[in-house]
Amino acid sequence: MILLSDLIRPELIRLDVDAKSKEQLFDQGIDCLAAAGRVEDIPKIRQALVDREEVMSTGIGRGVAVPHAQCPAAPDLSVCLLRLREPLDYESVDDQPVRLVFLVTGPAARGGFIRVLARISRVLCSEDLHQDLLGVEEPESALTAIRNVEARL
Amino acid sequence: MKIVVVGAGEVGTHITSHLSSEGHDVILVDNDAGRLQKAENDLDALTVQGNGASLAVLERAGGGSADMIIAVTNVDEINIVACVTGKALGIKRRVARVKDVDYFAERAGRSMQKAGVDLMVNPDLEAALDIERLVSLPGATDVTDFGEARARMVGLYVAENSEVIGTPLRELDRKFGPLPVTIVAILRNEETMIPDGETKLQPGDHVFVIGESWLMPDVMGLIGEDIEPVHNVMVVGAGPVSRHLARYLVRHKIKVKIIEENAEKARRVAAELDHVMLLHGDGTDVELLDAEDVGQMDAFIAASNDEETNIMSCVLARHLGAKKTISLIRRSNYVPLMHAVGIDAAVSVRLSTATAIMKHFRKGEILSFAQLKESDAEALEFLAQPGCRAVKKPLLKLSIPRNAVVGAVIRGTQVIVPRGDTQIMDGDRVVVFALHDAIEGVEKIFSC
Repeated sequence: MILLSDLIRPELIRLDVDAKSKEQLFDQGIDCLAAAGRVEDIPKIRQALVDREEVMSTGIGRGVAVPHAQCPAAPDLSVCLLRLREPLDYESVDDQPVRLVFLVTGPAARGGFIRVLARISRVLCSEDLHQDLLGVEEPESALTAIRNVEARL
Repeated sequence: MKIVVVGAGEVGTHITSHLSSEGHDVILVDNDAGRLQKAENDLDALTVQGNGASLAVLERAGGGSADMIIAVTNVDEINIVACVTGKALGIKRRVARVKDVDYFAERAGRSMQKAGVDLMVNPDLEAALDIERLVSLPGATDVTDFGEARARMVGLYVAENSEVIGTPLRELDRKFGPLPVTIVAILRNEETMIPDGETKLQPGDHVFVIGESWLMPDVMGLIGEDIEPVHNVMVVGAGPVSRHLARYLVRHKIKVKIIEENAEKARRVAAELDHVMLLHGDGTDVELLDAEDVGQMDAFIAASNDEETNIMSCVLARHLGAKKTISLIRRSNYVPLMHAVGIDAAVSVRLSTATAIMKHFRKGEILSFAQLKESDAEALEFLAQPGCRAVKKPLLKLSIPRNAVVGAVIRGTQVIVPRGDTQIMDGDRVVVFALHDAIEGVEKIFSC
């Protein structure tokens, strides 16, 4: 079982992100992953994120988005958590703007990748976690909140 | 339930056949004696000859004690008046097939409701919506939404190089972790089967999967071909279905070219639609298709009035390199041929309309419904009401018929992929997939 709280490291959490568009948001996420050495070819990752978003919005509702890219330029499965200062319009399933973003990148082999996406959706069903993630001040507290929810699943 | 259907055309007979096979009392009303005779021979329904908008005729058809009237003649006004008359007779639920979009404008729509039409279904719009869902998900042969579009059923073909081939479904869970979808059906050699844990997928299998909508593109990439975004679409025919479709596609920033045979119509539609390129020509003209870069199209939709022309255009477009081809059809006889000649999906105005109407008529607790074009199977969305037999018991213990499977459980905003130990709770929406012989058994379990 892959735990979300094992994949997200404190250095992969940014709680004060400014983005006025999906593209700016992706750049922030890629920057975060690149700083942790998780991505190799930034333009390729960026394109993969945009392409997937064009097929169908990854705004999963209740203010959460899970943009993701599967491509060889991301050798390891990585997840970063971004919290937007201002809500961003995301063409979500429920039309609500987004503040919590889990950006996922990974290599082309897919099984584990989809499992992580499904897990994020599952973990985010907890209303408490939403509130906690919107309220926390430190990356470590965000991680603890996620870990606590996962322990109960 | 006692239901009066007005209009024995394609939509009317389709709905009648479906409803009577489910044990409802259906009375079919039409002016045309010949049509009624044919319907009587083919369907298990009573018929009454006469004008379905007339009070006397509807009374003769037993309208006074009917629970519902479905008016689906070719004439909007007859359908609307039939509903108004039905209201006067005390029929509680009233549905009209209405083609003219002017009746849907906000004020007109409200006045219709006041007059007695509960629901207006526009056939062209329903077909356009079905096509749009197919275009936006390349690789999909069928797309149906459940639970306010949170869950989705998609039909697709298993790719030659898919990683899921040859592994029993039970093992797939171990290999990839629990997949966030239920594989509810496999069409193989013209047989529809509900898979079990031992089933192995084969290349070319036509599979139907149900899961969270937003994950579908990723799941489809795992089972079928990789999905690329859609940028360019070519449409043959500038009829109402094409015009509705073009409006949707433009809204999603997709470039649309429409080919129309009639020069005058092409000019008129060009003036009507913004950001759409209208070409005057024949949709089966290879040189024209080639000159207009049909090979660069992410999707090619043949939606003219002539079904043979549509099929031919799609075959040509595919040959010239269009990535996805969708044909509008009238009869379902051709559906089994489609894949063999390289057509990815078929949409029937009749079936889209009947499905849209049926969604609203079903017994109270059924919320949504989809019938497969390719086989005698359905997906049903139930609301689990307190006290219903299915609630608070593990799925394994529900004695669900062999030819049925629970595809998804929608609880609030959460979409649960069920396993044997999953329990349905009060208020859940449950999507069940069933072959025809299992539907009655399924309805028993999920009705109160």
